[in-house]
Amino acid sequence: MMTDHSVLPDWVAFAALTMLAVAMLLALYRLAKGPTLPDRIVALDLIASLTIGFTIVFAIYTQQVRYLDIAAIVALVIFIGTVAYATYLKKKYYD
Amino acid sequence: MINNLIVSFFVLAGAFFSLLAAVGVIRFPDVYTRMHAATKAPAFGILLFLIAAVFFFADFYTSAISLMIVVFIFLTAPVASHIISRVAHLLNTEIWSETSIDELANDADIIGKKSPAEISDAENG
Amino acid sequence: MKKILFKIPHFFIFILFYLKEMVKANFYLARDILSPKMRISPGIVKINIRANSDNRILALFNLITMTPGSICMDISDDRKSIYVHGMYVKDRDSFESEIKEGIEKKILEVFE
Repeated sequence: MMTDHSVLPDWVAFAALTMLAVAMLLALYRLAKGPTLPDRIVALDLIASLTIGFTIVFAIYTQQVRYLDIAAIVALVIFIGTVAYATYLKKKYYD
Repeated sequence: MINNLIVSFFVLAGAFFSLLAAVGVIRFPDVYTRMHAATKAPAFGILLFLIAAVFFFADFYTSAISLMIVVFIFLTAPVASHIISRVAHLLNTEIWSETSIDELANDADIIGKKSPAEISDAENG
Repeated sequence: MKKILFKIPHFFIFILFYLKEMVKANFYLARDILSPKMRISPGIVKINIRANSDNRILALFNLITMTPGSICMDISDDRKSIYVHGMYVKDRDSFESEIKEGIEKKILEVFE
């Protein structure tokens, strides 16, 4: 069986990307509304994870394996961002 | 054909768990319970997506980079949730009123724990 | 060397255990999020740990965060106890013994 000729059905990709987009809208709602600052950091973290998922689905849909590199880089970078935000808050608290 | 079915199933399951995380972040009442939704579910969703990618591309490169992403995500997600919830508790973020027990609240083990009055002073000053 | 070889099967069993716990955690979470009424009763519990080395504490934090209904919040300065936020803390002692008997025992077997 040649996997190169198999494609993801259009409706599956459409459904998955729609679900991810709705999830991202909900996370953006929490980011905008979030009563406290930690809530917003949680929402940012979630948006980063959703971006990684989005990229992987897109890689499968377009059959471009190189898009997975983007997912790897986002995963590596965003963690630093979350920790930096939290550390900034902690520093502000101790001063 | 069967390969397509497997890939479709994993992609849809991953999207479902990602959506679940977002709904949880909207629905849960306070930061700590939101953290439960925002830590576990997206990591699991990404794992499912990557399983789908490995089945779809079926080559060495995809497997290697997928393994790298999974290991990194699963090592860092707990650290991120730990540091956020710790900062949230230091800042006296409001905790849900039905929380049964909070043993971190008045504990002298944490260095430099301030009272709420001091925090509001620092924020205003 | 012999010791490391002896550990390898334990390590694979540990990974399978991790995956099983994670799937269980996500289905619990799905049930909680999708049920119309909030059925959770959260709480923060202080737990004394026996894990003493860095590796063990890291693995314990990871596993507690990924298992059903609990995330690690903080560790005390003398590294003797941790604070865990649980989703279903009906009764403090049973929650504590669940973590100590289930997860921590596994960690002590596998890691140094």
